[in-house]
Amino acid sequence: MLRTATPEQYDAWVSNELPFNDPIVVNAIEEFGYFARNDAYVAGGAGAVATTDFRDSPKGLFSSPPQCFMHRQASFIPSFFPEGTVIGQDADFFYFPAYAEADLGSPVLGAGTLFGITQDSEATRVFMEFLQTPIAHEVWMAQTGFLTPFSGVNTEVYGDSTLRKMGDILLGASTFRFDGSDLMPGGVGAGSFWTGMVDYAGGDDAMAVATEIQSSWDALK
Amino acid sequence: MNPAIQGLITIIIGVGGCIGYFYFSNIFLDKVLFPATGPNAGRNINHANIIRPWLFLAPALLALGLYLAYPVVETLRMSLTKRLPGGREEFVWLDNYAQMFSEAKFWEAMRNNMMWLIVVPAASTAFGLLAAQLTDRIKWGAIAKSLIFMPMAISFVGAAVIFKLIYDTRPVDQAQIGVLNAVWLQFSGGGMSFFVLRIVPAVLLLAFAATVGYVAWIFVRPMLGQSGSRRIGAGTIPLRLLVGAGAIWLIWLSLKSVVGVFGFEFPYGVPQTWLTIPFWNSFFLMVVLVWIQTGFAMVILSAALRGIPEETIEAAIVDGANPFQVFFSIKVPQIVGTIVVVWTTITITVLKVFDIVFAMSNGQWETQVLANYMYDKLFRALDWGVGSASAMIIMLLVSPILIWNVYNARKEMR
Repeated sequence: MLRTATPEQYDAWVSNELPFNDPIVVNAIEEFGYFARNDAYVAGGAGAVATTDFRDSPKGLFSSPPQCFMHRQASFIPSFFPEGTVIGQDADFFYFPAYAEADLGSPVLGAGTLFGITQDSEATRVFMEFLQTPIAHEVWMAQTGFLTPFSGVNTEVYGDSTLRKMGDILLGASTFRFDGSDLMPGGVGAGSFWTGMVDYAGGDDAMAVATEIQSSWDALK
Repeated sequence: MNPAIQGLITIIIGVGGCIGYFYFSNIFLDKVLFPATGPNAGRNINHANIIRPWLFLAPALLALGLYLAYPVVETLRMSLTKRLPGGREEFVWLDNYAQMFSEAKFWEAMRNNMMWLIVVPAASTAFGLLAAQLTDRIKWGAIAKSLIFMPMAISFVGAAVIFKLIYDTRPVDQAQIGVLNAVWLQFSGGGMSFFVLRIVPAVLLLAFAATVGYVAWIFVRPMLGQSGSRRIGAGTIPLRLLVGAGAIWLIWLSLKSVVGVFGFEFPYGVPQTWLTIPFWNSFFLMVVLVWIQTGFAMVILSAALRGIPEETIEAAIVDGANPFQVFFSIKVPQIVGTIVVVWTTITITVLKVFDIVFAMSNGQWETQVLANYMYDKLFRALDWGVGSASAMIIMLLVSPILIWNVYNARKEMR
């Protein structure tokens, strides 16, 4: 959705101002289908898309002969790689490119941690200000398991070259959004959106699936 | 602390606590509250005897009231309300039910539940009866019975995981770890394939059609031979006609399928994703529950078979009956009561089936059932109103069977 529609359209989609069966959304579904429903592009054929556990999905990269050469996933996936896989040597990653013709910059989808004050005090306010300084992030970056969107940091400080590459992708993004299904109400995001896309991966028509999801969202209101 | 030791201590405290409650409350009643000595001995003993049953039942009544009776009432109330943002509720009366009835997924769940209801109790009871009869007199009968009963010892989720591995699919050129796909890849269109994949299903379908026809004939014949010995009530005629019509439809479907089996293009050599095949994936799920419940049916029916008087069987053999006649005309009619009890108990279990569907397909690919639908509405969509409404529907479906079971049990008691 982020690579075929503007950020405003994405926000409208997540809040249901843009209906789910709008041609913009259906187009995004069909762009996904261009890869997922093509037997020649998917290890195990299109039928395996919905039936393979996501923790088993990278296995095709490491089997011999390899079942697939590329895998599109989020940054947590190395924990499901086989033991002893070295990123940069046995496997590597790159930013999933945006369409050059769409002229939408470099959108990135991710999750984040929010800091909030529950009990106002001098100490909490000062801490929040501290968090806005580069040093607060750089201390953490030098450890592992931390990524920051703060543009004022020095990315050389990342303790891990993999994290540095991810950090550069994050800082090079022109648009950043949270995952759409998490932002939608539970009955859609964890319910009809999920089952609808499984149906689509199994061969249903994109417009029919989108209309079904929209009607379930209407029923929730 | 070692979890095993923790578990052991929990068991000791739990069981000891229960035994202790009964023992010490009894002593308290008899020695402290209403002692059987002194001037009021007789009256005290009477009082103690009146209070004792309530004292023993108190924990059970409390637990049942809190965890069974109260939730029923509360669920009924919640099914008539709708949650508003901010934590409040408003009464919308039957809106939740209207919304539920307009969802295609709900009707799919109902249809699947009906299919499960028809197939699983019948299959479990039939296989259980078969196993009970066959293991009756042989030397290794006890071992066979233990093996068949073992699936009852594992949880439904455990069985679901086992069968998920059996139905597993790997891409074409990789080794298959799923038993079913490994067997499927052995077929390549030759003579054996023709026999197993075309002859055997055709025979099974014809047998199914014959059974349906026989059952319908039992229902419809009294209507046709009205001048016979037994008069039938006029009220049962619509039911008999319905059964007859349903049977004709099922027989027609079976015959059509027999023709279809011979013309079907089987995808030899391609591993199938069994759980995504529409309509048939429900049967793959039902196999799991039949596998579990057959042991239960077998154990109870085995006891019932043992209870048949030997003289009836010996008389039949002396009269020249072959084993099939002895089984179907002598043994089965004498245990019909037990068969019905086993059937209804398994039916109640089938109506609640959730773990199997949840763990294997989560209701995807048209396998949805009511209990999983309820879980989805309550804990994924967080829609308490519609979730409670579906819970009430499940209760409505189970009630007739429960009432009939209790009615039968009381009839036998008299």
